Amino acid sequence: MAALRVLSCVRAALSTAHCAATSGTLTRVPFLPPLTGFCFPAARGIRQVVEKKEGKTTLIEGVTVATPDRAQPPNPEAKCPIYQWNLQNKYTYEDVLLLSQFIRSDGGMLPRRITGLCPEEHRKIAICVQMAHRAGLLPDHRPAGHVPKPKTTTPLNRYLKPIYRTGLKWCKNRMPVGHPALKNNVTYSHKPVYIKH
Amino acid sequence: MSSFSRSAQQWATFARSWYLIDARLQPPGKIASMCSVRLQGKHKPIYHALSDVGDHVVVMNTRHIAFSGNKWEQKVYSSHTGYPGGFKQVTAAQLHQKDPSAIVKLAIYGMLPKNLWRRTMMQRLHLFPDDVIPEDILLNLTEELPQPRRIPRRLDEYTQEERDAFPRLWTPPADYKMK
Amino acid sequence: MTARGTPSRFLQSVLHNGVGRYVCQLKRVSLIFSKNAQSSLGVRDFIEDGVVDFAKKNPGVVVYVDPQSCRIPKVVAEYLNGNVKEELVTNQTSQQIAELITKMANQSGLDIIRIRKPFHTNYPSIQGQWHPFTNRPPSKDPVGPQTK
Repeated sequence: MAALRVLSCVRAALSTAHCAATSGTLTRVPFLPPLTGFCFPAARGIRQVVEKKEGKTTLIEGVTVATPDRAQPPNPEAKCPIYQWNLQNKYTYEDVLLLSQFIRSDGGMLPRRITGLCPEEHRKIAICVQMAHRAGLLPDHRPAGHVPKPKTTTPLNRYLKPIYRTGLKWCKNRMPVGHPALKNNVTYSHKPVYIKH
Repeated sequence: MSSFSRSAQQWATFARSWYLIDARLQPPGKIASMCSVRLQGKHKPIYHALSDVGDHVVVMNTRHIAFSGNKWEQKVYSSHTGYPGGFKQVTAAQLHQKDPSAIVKLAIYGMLPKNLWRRTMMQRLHLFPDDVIPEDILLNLTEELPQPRRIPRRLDEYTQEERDAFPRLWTPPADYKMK
Repeated sequence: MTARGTPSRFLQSVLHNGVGRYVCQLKRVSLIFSKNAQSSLGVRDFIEDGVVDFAKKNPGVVVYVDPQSCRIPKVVAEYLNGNVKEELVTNQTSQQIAELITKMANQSGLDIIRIRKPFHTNYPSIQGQWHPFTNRPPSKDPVGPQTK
């Protein structure tokens, strides 16, 4: 539901941006000729370390991977990417396509000075990422030396998986499954969010 | 009037239909509340407490139900054998390992009204731990009920086209080494 | 003690009586009384005062006045469906007997027993009675795990 909502939001924004680009005069050149690839003016992209081995010499090279031209957000004045796309309080832990843009390959959060998120949204994204990890929605984002445990024959399915705490019915530790920071998310039911399970 | 004759009309109105519910990754309480309504026949406009109008419900994949929180370890099922010292207590995980359809069955049994119809209605409930259903039951099924909980998709379940269709919300700077 | 063992019927009327035309269902009334008993005083009064008026008002009803040597005066009503109703009118005034006879003339003659439901219709539904497949989208697809 939430993922669909986010996707529809973004699609609407995309379509408006496309219309603006086609209707207005084209001030910026969308496609640069390949000859100017040396002096690419302030191209932002991801750098990767590429190792090449030619006989004895090992060539380590930092290569900039060109990112595709990104679509124009509906609110480009804002600094935080969440506010640029008007997505505040509209995402949950289920929107893994959104969350995966803000995490490293080992599952940790990217620093805030890089992503440009405002402190509140950074915290909320961090909470959502943690919940998504616990729910097993990000299976490929593991630390480098991670060895998965051998699975039992019938795994016990959980959703909103908590931190593992023991305690039986008479000495139960009530544990938070969601987070109070996500309380003002868009909901369509009259029930208040039940945080403690 | 309808095109039925009167006796056929009576048969049609009071016929029992068979529902199928897939319990994969679903909380057993929500499955049980759906089942209990159908078993009592409370979803029918002809419902009356004195007439036996309950339907059959088939629940499959009860082995793959999901609990939230730490209920697998903390939820306790108690029973007493009747003998001294016969008080048994098992957690949900132990009970599930012993009988993969017991948790759903107990949840539904607890949600039915506590009267003499209860055992009869439980006989109209058919639980299957996996998605293997005998042929004679399969032929009776008329409708599959929607699952109460929407199962979120994992990141590796999205196709490449869907990932590409989702726009990049921010652009990393050129001099940042992505791990 | 429940009412389940008692005789009962559904709400009904005789041949839609009163819809369009009305047929008085009372066929015959016999007033059985004694000429000199004290208990028949009211009946004798009624015969002097009101029985002619009643017979004129209800031309379809035959009224018999039957003096017998009896202690207990009776009013016997016979209906078109064959039911016979007998009411004792011991020590009743002429007014009470007039009311009783008017009530009998208005009745349908059906047995006065428990009525199971206070409503009845000959046409239960115009749009068709409900069955499990009304308001359900038609699908011919087989339901089951193999469809996924």
